[in-house]
Amino acid sequence: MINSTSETLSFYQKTLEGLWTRNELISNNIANSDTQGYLSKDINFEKVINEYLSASKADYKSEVDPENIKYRIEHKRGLDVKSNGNNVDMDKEMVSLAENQMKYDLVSQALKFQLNLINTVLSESKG
Amino acid sequence: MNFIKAIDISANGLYAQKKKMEVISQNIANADTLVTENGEPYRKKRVVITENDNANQFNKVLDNFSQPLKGEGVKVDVTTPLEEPFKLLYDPDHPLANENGYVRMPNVDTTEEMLEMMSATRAYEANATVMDAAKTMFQKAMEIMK
Repeated sequence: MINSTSETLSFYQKTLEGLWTRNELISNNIANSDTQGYLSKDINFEKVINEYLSASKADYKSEVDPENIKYRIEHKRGLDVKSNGNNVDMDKEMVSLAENQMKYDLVSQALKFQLNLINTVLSESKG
Repeated sequence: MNFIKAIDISANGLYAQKKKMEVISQNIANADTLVTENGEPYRKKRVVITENDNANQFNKVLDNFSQPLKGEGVKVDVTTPLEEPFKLLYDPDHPLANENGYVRMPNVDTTEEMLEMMSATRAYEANATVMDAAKTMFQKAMEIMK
């Protein structure tokens, strides 16, 4: 479980950071769709987030700090390499671009909701 | 989160494709140019697009020792490939014909240029779409505090 508000917020922040990095990588892949010998890149976002979530679920009191979330940039695997040594799959990149955009939208909405909750608490205390 | 960088990468891609388009129009416009400055017929030009990953910067390489670099768009260079021979056209009455009656024509293949042009157009559109996506995402981030 995610315990404190600040942890929740920094978890969201890390998630958005990962998604934004993925967006940059997709831009780079598409800009390099003609580049000789270029191999497309991706970030291991899902793996890192799943590991974090299962670690924090396993132990309520463990010291799982979202600040420790570290992403890695990797070459994509299992793609066909074209005759010029390039393996950018334009359709797949476009699909993950759209998917990534929706995920970013979702997480930013969740973060907005969380901030609204805090706002409500703060305005209640004013009486 | 670096908004400008995301836009920069796509702008880089757009520039590269525009440059490619320029070279294609130059090739097509010169498809019948028989004499250039060096006395030869026109030789077709090509763009060479390479990844701009700053890999030659020592500290960047060390920072990213175990994983690929993030990448910062593309670089474009215009080259003139020399290996492709000129086309020969048999026309003995032509003032530039050699002793066997052949005229050397530019090595531009219009069909090939057309295909290159289509791929450049599509790639340009793709880069524009990505730029739009980055813009939308940034707007969503701006809406968080609304």
